Amino acid sequence: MIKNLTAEQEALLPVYRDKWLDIGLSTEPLNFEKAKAAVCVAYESVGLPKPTKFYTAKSPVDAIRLIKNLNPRMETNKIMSDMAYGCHDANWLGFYQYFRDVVGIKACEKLDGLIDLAHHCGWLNMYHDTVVFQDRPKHIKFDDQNRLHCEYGPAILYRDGYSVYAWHGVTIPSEWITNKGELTAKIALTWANTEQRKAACEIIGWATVLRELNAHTIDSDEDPMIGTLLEVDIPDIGEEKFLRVLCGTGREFAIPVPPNMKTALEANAWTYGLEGNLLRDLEVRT
Amino acid sequence: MKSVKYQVRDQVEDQVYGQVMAQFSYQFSYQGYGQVRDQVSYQVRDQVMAQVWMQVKDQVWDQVRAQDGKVD
Repeated sequence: MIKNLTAEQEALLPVYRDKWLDIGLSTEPLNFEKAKAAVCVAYESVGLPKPTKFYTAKSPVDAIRLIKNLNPRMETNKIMSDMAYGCHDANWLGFYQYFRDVVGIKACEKLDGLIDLAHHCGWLNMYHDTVVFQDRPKHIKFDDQNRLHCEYGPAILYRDGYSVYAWHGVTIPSEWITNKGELTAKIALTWANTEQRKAACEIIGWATVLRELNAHTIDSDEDPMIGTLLEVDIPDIGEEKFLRVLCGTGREFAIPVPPNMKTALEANAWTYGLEGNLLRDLEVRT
Repeated sequence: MKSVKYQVRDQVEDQVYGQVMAQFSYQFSYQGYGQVRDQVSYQVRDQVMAQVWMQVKDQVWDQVRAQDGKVD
């Protein structure tokens, strides 16, 4: 009976976390031979005959097409429901691998095949005698807060070109990145999904959006680098405050600020985690 | 008849979970288990599942629904 983890076992928790983060976020190509061997172990562990037919797909949609070619009667919904997630099963497989390897619980060995499989492939469909492996993404990009994000291309790209575009963790239509000039403030502000609407406004730039919305001025500092505090009524969201400022290169931009801000100086200071007067003092010294 | 995915993956996970929990003392079930879950499973889940797996899965499902079962 296990009553607690030893200090040595606890010290391995971040090691297993990092190992399985690497597996889950791997962009290595599918290792077909190793994936085949691993999936056979998984089948055998539950008493199923080993599959003999193996196919590879470059992305989830490529797998759907391939399976429909193999079996035209198979519904797409069924194909999707049948998908297992290989490397993306990292969270629970890492949990059991820790208990298998570090704590020594033998019951976890029944997952040996799936644990090994996660090292070598992306998603997969398993059927009697047939397995369709998918490649892992070619690249995955995040922002500095580890949210899915890329401002100049797809955030997730598979080797056949299938892609997911994302803006700070929110998936967005690809054309908002590939054809930014077509994204207008009107499109952004009338977009039904509010998370995507916010992303669209950020892509266009809040300064442009605020001009469209006729934001009214609450306070304007004499120093353009401190800026102007604006209030605006955003459709379906309500009253929001923004600080419109000039940066050091002379470019104008706008930053959302908390609703309790009363002056431009206070709002500008907030962006640095300071109080208003402290910011003015800092400016004098520099 | 249960799908191969269920037999190879989902059912095994259920069985192993039960067998692993049976190895834990009452105290460990509420503390140590949670410690491993929080520091390994949940942290990997928050990055891999929430930021990658779910985004791909949702987009593919949306495309499947929008195109009545067809994907481009």
